[in-house]
Amino acid sequence: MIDPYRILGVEMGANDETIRAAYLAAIRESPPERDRERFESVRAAYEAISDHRRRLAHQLFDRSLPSVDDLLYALSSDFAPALPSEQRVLRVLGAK
Amino acid sequence: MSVSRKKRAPASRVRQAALAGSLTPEAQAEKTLAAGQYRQAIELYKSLLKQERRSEWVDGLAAGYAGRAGELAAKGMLSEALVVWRNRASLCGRPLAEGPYVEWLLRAGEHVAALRLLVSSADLSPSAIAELETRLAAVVLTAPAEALAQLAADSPLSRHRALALAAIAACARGDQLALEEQLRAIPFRSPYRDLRYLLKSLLLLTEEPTQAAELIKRVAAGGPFESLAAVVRAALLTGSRWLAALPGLDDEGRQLLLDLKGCPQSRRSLLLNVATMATLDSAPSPGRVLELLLPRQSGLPASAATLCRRLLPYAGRRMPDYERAFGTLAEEERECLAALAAELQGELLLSKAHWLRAAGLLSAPEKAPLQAALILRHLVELFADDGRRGKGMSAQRRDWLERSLALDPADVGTHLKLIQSHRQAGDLRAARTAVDQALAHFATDPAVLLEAVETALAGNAFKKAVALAKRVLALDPINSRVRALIAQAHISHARKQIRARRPEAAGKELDLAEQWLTSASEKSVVKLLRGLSATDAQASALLHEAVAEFGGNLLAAFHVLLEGARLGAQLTPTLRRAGIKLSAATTAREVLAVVHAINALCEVGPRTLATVLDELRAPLRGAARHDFSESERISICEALLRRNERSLLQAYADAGRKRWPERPIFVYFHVFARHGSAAYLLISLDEGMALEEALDKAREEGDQRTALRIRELLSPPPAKFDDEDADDFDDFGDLDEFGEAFAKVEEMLFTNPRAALEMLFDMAGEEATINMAREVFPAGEFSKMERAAGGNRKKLARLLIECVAEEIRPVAGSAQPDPLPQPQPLPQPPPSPPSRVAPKAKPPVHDDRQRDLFDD
Repeated sequence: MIDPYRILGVEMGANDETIRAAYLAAIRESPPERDRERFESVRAAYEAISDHRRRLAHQLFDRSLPSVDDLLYALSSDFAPALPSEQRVLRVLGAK
Repeated sequence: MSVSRKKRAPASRVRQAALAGSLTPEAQAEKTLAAGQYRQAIELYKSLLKQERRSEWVDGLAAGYAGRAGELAAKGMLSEALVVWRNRASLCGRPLAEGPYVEWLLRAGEHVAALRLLVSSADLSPSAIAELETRLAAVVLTAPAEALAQLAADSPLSRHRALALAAIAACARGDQLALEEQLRAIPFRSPYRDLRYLLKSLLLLTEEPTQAAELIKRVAAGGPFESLAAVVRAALLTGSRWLAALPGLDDEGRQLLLDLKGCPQSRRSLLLNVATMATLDSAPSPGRVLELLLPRQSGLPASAATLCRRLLPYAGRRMPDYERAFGTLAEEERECLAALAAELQGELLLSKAHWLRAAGLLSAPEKAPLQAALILRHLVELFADDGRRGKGMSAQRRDWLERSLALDPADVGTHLKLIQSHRQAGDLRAARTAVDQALAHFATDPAVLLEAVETALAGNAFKKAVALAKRVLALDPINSRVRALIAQAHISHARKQIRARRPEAAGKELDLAEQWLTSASEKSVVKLLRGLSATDAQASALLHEAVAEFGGNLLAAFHVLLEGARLGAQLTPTLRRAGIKLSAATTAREVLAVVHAINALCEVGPRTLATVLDELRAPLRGAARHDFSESERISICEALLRRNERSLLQAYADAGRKRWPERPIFVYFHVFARHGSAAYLLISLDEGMALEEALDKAREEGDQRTALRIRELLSPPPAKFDDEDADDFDDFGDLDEFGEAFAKVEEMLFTNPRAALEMLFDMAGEEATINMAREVFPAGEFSKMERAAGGNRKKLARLLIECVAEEIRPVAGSAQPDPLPQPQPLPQPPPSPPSRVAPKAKPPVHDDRQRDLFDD
């Protein structure tokens, strides 16, 4: 399952404009001459969810298998990256 | 020590071993050391050193100790390795702090002992001291105060320690300015120098990952802060790669990485489980994912519930667990999941039943009619694979399209598909209705207007077609397809006027057509029609002019005959009037020109073309002996095969087979020409063997297309299933039964033809029956029955069965028809709810204008 929402980095409830903006940003970041594989996956993701009908169809009929990326995304979508505590860094360096 | 002592070989035995061999004790020690037998080497060198303290023997002993210590450390026996290393230092006079000793101390957690090295390292060179300080930087940073007391106050480790700690604190606070300030004070040669890049990288991880990656590249692997650097490197990996790196870190490293990613404590064990999956090569199985997530659903984000919901079709038995975890599913959702699960298992009919029930539940305006429409369209796609029966869309699929448009009329693609399918089915009335509905929603859509043009043309409504085409051109002025359609509409209208004996009106239409034509060949056709529209001298002159433009022989004859047939004229007198004498020898170039013209025809029915070719059959057959190139001959055969001109095909295929006997494609053409697509029922043993050989050859040559075509010729067509009700089948296991049933048909064909044909009709439907009969019957007889059926294809199929059954005489001893096999009762799929839009029964169309369409 190549989750198109994850590929484009948008919420499940995102509208057409948000999705298109995310698509254009992703294409700018990974043009085909720089990263063909990423470009193809971004384009496929956009085609899958570019409008309301397609989003509904994807939700109804998509039956692709999950990748580890999908699983990680499903579990970490609410993660908020944070800086480590001083003690944690020192413990990593060997402090008891 | 005790282990070593226990296993030590007695000195006398070593001496004896040395004496027993032919080598001197020194050579024996060297040989043992080189062989990696360190314990024996140590004993041998010790014995030698008891005799005399030679420096080379001391070196040998030191090498033996080093090797032995390395062996022990590699096995994780760090304490033992450290003891051996200390023996090396004391017995061989080597510095303790050299080699891997410091690393082993740190790995063994003997930090105080490591720091003591700094005090007792006076005998080391300044560079070795600097290296030792660098390696102990992390230890000094984290060591307790009492352990630090032994450090010299002026050593860089002591002087810069406070700065490094302050930098770590600033980094933890996210205070970039303070961090910069502290790091600036740490000199480039300080043992803490790696911290400058590490801490900056740590601070930029989320906001500026590219810059962070550049910084971490400057930290050499295996440095004093490697444990921290490994975490930062892992945190910078994209996608799920950081997760795959997680199991490779120590426990503190893992916790720091999860801190950096923002993973809450409650989800850490789950993440570690997923991390183990990430290290495996294969994708996680849906069952395993559900097994992991469903018991831990509390505290998981909504995205986890979505993922589980999407995996349920793979693991239906998990549905109760899912509902316990995330709440009850609505009935329509359960139906959708069941439909997808059935699709995954290849049970299309069961899937259809579930999809239809889901569509029924979602159709209500207060529910989700758009979803219902999408489901119906999905069904159309799901049952799109008609295999060899590709004769357009079934009535059931058209009904789904119509129902989907009633629920969601704003989908232009579906409108187009429906119009095309009605037209392909020859139901022009329904096609016109579909066009009107599409235009009501998409009045200015060029694609819809183009379909409207095509539909008007199919119904001989030429003026309407031209008016619609001009609307398309107003929207899309360079649409060449529309320009060609307008020209064809005028030409077709002109033919209609000529048939109605209105040459003036026909002339006007031809004038209009000429405005849109670009090719010389089309202009010559217009001239030809002008010549045929009247019989006066001027018309005859135009006719002769057109004939000359077409080369005056075979190609000209083809066009004259074709237009004559279209106008309903008598062909032989028309040919005579055009002044064409077909007795002249036909060249290969002329044959190719005619084949090209045949390929360019699109709106001509097979009967019209057959009538035209009847007149040209003799010269075309005679020309088969010409020396065509292989590709030319194949393209001629392909054109004749497409038009089902089997007698001509046989002439060209046989000549090709003689010239290129090794080419499988000509074997295929030859057998197809003899028996048509029903060859699998009719081929002789020799032909079957020739086809098998050709199939092997085609496979050897990698000619997949020919291999596939030969295979299709050798085997019966696939059974149909999409036109039937779900109740008729339980699952795809029935396809095997169909294979057996086809074998029965073959067996019964000559013993009880009527029963065999009835069985075939039941299995394959009227379309397959009609197509098969078309192969067998002469065109005239087929047309008679077609007219008698009055456009009702089921009736036509029945008439054909009657006729074929009469034609094929049963063999002696089997005159009595066998009783038909009774179908076995099949399990019933869940009943479908009554649909909101009832399927409309379409009356047979008695529209004279559709006669040709009926054939196509």
